[in-house]
Amino acid sequence: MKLLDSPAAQTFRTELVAFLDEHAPRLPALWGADAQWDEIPEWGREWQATLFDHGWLEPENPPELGGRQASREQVLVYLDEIIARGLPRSLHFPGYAIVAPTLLQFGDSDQRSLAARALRGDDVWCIGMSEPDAGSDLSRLRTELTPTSTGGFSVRGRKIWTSYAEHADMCLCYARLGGERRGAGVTAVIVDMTAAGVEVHPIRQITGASDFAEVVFDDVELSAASVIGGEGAGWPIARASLDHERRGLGTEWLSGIVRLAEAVVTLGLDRSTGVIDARAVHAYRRAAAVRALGIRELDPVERGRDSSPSLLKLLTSELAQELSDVAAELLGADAVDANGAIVGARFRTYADTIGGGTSEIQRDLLARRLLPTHA
Amino acid sequence: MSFAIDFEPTTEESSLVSFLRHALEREWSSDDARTHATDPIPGRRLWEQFRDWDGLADAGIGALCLAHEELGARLAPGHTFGANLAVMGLRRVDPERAAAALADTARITFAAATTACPQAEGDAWILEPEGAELVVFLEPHAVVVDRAPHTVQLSTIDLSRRLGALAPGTHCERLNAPEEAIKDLHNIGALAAAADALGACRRLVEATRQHAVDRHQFGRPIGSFQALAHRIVDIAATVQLARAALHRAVALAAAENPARHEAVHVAKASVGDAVRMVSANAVHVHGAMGYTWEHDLHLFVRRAYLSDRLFGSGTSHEQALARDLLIQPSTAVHV
Repeated sequence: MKLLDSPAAQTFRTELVAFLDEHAPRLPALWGADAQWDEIPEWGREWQATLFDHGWLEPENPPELGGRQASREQVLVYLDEIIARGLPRSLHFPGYAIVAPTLLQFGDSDQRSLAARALRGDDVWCIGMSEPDAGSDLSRLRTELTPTSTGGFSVRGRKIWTSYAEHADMCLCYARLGGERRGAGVTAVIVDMTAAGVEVHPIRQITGASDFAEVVFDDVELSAASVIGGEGAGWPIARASLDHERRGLGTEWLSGIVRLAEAVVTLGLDRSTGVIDARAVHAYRRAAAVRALGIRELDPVERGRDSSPSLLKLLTSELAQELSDVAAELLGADAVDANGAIVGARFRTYADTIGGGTSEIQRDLLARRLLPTHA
Repeated sequence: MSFAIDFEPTTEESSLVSFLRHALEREWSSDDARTHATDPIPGRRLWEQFRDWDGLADAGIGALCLAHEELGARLAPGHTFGANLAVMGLRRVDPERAAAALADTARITFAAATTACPQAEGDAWILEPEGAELVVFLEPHAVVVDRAPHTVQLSTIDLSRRLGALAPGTHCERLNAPEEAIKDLHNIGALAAAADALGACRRLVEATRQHAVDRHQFGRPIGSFQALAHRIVDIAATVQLARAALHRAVALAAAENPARHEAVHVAKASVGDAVRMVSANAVHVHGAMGYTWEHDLHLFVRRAYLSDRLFGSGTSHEQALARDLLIQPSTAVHV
C-alpha cells in the first residue's frame, strides 16, 4: 500500500483544488433552520451543474457525462479531496446516483440520452419503489402496468416514501405487468411526473421537513418507449440500481460523516483549556477509520471484484447516528432547542438506517457472502 | 499535499506475504505455539531458519505490516519482531552498526515500549530475551543498546511469545537521535504490533465463520440464524475497518507524511476495538467448546490482547490522539 503522491497525482489534485477553491459552495449549518429546505436550493442546482460542466461530477465518465476520463489513481485523488472537504455533489441523489447509471446500463439509446440531464441535475428524478405493503420486501409491490390498445401502458398504484417526488420531473417506477401479461413480472418504467393522473402528497417527517411523499398513479398513460430493458426485466434492474445507489451515494455519506465529525470535535473543544472531550475524540477516531475504509470501498479496482456496497452503507449510517448522538450530548441543554442538534441531526439520522435498505437488510446481504447457508 | 492512498499491495509485498504464510503453515503449528511458553528451543530454531532471509528490515513498512499480520495469524514467536525493529532502530542512528547487526540477527532483539509514546524511564518488554546478547530500546531522544541485558522473565497471557522485563544495566550505550526519528520508530513498532493483533483477529473471524457453517443445531447450521449471522458480519466488518485504518497509517508512515502520527493513533485505537469485540464474539459463537483450554481459540485471543498492549494500547492511543489531533477546520463546515 502507498501514498499517491506522484507528480501526476499532484498535478491532478492542484487542478481540482483550484476548481474547488473557486466554485465550491459554502455549506449551510449542519442543523437548525439553515439545514432544512422545502425547495431544492438554487446554490445546490448550480453546484451540481458546475461540477458537471467542468468534468468534476463523475471524473471517470467522459466529458459529455460530467467527467474527464479519469484514471483509477485520479479517481482516488478526487475522492480524497471531495470527502476531506465534506462536500456533497448533489442535493437530490436519485438522478445522478441511481437513474443515470441505471439508464446507461439498461436503457435503449433514447433512454441513455436522458443520463446526461440526470447527471447534471437538469431533470430531477425520483424512484418509485416502496409501497405501503412493500418496503424491505419489495416483491410485494402491487402498482400495476396494464397494456393499452394503443400499444402503450397505463400505470395505477401507490408509491410511498418517495424522496424528492415533490420536485421531480420524472420517476423511475417499478410496476407489475397486468392484463393478459399478468405474471410476466415486474417492469421498470419512466413516468413523467407532470402527466395527468400523477398526484404527489408530501409527507411531513419527524424533523418537520417533507423530503418524501406518497405518489398516486391514477391510470397514468405511458408510451411503449417508457419501458426500460424490456417487459419483466424489473428485478435485475432494481437490484443493479440499489447497488448503484449505495456506490453512488458513498461519497455523499462519507462527506456527511466528515462534516459531522468536524462539528463534533468543534463542539467538544474546551477553548479555555484546549482539551477535547473524550467522547468527541472517540467519535472522530471512528469517523477517520470509516473514511479510510469507505474510500477503499469506492476504489474503482473494487468494482471488478464484485465487492458489496452494503458495508459502506451500514457503517456510515450507524456512524452518522453515533456522531449526531455525541453532538447532542455535547450541546447539553441547547440540543433540545427546536432548531438544535437533536432535531436537526439526531432525528434526521434515524432515517439513515431505514432508507436505502435497512441495516438488517444490509447485514443479511453481507451475511450471504460470508455464510453460504444464510437465508 | 495529496493524502490519497492506493491500498493495493505491491507485487513485492504480495510475494513476501505468500512466502511467509506458506513457510509458517509448514513449520509452525498452534501446538508449537502452545509449548513456546515453557520451551523456547523450537521457537529459536524457527527463527534461526528464518533469519537467513533478511527481507523484512529492508522491505519497507508496507511489507513489514503485512508480514506481521501473518506472524500474528500463525502465532509465530517474537524473534522476527524483535530483531527487525532492532535493526531498523540502529539503522536510523548508526547504519554501519546496523549492517553488522544484520549479519548476526540471532543475537539481537528489541524491547517494545508499553506506552503510546517513548518514555524516559521506559516500561518496556524484551521480545524473546533468551539468547539475546544485545537489546535495543527507545528513549525520547536516543536509541539505546544494552550490551549486557538483565532480564526478568515475565509471565503474560500470551503463550506464543516470551517476554522479559527490561532492567537497563550498566552496559547501555546511548545513540542520540532526533525526537522525530524516535517517534517514527515508535510508530513503526505500533503499526507492527497492530498488524500482529489484526492477523490474530482475522484467524478468529475465519474460525468463527467456519464454525457457524459446520455446527448444526435444530436441523440447520447455526450461522443460518440471523442473530449469529449478524454477529459474524459485525466482526468481519470491524476487522476490515481496522485494517483500512492500519493500511492508511502504514502508507502515510512510509511516506513520512505529517498526518502519520494522527493516523497511527487512529489505526491502533481501531485495532484495539477489534481485539476486544472480535475476541468476545468469537468465543461466544463457539459456545462451550470455545471456552476450553484445549480449543485453539484462546491462543489467538491471548495473542491479540498482548499485541494490543505493545507500543501502547488502542485506548492509550486514542488518548494521545486527543493531544495530537490535527484539525484543519474546513471552510465549508460550520455548526
